[in-house]
Amino acid sequence: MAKRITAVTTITPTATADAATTLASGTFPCIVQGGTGTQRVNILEIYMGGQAGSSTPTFMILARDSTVGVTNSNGAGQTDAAMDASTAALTAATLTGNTNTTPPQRSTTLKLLNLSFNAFGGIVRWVAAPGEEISIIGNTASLGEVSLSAFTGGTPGAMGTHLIYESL
Amino acid sequence: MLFSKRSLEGYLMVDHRAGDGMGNMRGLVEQSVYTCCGCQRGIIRNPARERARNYCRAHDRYMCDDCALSFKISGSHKSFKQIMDEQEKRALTASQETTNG
Repeated sequence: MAKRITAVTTITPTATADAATTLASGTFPCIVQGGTGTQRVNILEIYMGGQAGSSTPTFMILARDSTVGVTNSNGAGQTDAAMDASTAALTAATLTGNTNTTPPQRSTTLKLLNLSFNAFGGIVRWVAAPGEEISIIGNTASLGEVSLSAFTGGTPGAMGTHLIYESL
Repeated sequence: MLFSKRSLEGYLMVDHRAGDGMGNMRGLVEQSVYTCCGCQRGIIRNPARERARNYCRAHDRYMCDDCALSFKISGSHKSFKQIMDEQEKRALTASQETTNG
């Protein structure tokens, strides 16, 4: 039971379509993938704060992935830190990041949250009710990974994000 | 403790007070959201909705329109927690089979 925050100081996501299009490294805020084949992870909160200097409608989607990312690591400005200073590191840590050798692909059908906003001064914050969190299990498609990424349309703008999750 | 359906509601805030907004979405929007018990999709409650809101009596949770339609057609419904339990069992079985050769 460890609550952690994966955050990105600033990123301008690339609008990416669903079908047959993978999420290229560094073009989306993050994925969350189970650390083992049976690990459960709950998504507790997502925050995005716009940093753009002009109007930039940004269509952010939290969705399950039909192809999971392989060899995942944090990209530029991305961190993953425990919320509690006394949290011990898990043997098989939950994977977060946005840089992969085999990139993930967003599912065409399993979209979970539409968090569209204008990154010119806009803020979006979603918080799950206790016990009603979005969850993933394992590390295989489609239940083992979710991604936060920009969907096609609009003109995605710079933003800072954080996502709070809990590995069970 | 008394159970309230409102305890199932999460929170969504979209604040465009400092910017242009988007279409009709301007200013501060705060909404309660619930998580579908079948697919975990986040659903924003529409206060103007006239149709009955879908509710699963078996799991005592709200459902999205898609899962409710699927339930009406098939007559069966699994909560996402059941689906996760099944996935966990499959993964454990596969892991044991690999270990046992």
